[in-house]
Amino acid sequence: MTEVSRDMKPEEIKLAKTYLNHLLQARRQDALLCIVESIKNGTPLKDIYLHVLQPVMYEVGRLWQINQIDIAVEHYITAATQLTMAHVFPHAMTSKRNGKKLVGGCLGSELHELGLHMLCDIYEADGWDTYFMGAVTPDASFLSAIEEQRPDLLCLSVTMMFGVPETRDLITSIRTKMKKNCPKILVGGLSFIMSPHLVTVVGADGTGKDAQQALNVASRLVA
Amino acid sequence: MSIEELFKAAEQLSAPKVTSDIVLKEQAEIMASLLTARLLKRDDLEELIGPGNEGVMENNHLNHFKYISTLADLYDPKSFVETVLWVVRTYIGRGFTPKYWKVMLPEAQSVILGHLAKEDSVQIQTIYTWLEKYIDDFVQISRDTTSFYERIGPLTRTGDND
Repeated sequence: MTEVSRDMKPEEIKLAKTYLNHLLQARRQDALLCIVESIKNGTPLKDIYLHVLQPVMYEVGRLWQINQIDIAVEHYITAATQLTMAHVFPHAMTSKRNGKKLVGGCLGSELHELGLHMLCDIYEADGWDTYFMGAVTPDASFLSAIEEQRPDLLCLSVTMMFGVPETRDLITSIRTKMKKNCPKILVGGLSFIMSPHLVTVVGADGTGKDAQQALNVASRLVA
Repeated sequence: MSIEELFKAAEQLSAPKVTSDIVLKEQAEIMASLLTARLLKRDDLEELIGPGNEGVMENNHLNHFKYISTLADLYDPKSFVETVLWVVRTYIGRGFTPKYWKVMLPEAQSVILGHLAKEDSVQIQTIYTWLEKYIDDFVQISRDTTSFYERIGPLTRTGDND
């Protein structure tokens, strides 16, 4: 993995801080409006996701870890950001389709779905058709979704280490069942950022530190 | 000690080979309750975890046993160190003191060994022995280094949210 997303531009830093400050003061509408305004002014959806919303969510994680915000605030900001994403998502549907399909989900007990949600929206903006199943998706549902949707790419997201052995077992099941028809498999989330070596351990084809890296890797894997 | 030295030390720790990882996973809640009960009996609990943190401690105990069962299934030295560091940083941020782990780790070990087959006990003991040996280093590194979020979060590196 050599591709690294670029640094934030000054205007993105300003927008991210404005957005976060609105949400820290429970001003969800103001937060949404500043993002919508930026989109109207021509900021690409991908830049909003990668260089505004994602850095904001990392900062929210940091604030929670040092006990400056509690879990209620973290959940409020996560929910508000999901609302923001739903509001701006139509901008992802304007690009041409590339004929490729992605199935994505968080398995087992994994509740942290925002990162994969962002990734699916960004792939959609890049022309992919995406089938996002969200948090706590049972193993059997992954298998049926793969059989029904016949995706080129499967994306699995794991935040907590508890989910890594489950990911390994699910990938083994999928490869055993699908054999030559198995889609390429990307894994991501905090566990794999912490220890990229785990990508090999679980039997995946690749990973990405963020959606842009994952998109770059997928472009190579799915020609 | 640096985090790189901790990674190397964790690489020397053999992956625990236990047959009881499923038992550990299934009994995580019970073991967490037993551990919490032991800690709640202590007169110095507030000194260990800070005021009003009993619920936070209870949550940590459940995650602890779930994580030990994960280690028994899949041991990865780098994520092991990063995870323990993350835990220490998070709970110290909530008022826990380093002394908490000096008390909690032997108690957790005692609880967990009561639920394992004898041949698995030795494997799990090596993890606890290692954690007890290096817990002070984890505390020190958590104080001296930037957190995981600070390392990956570009907004954090740009300064305060003003």
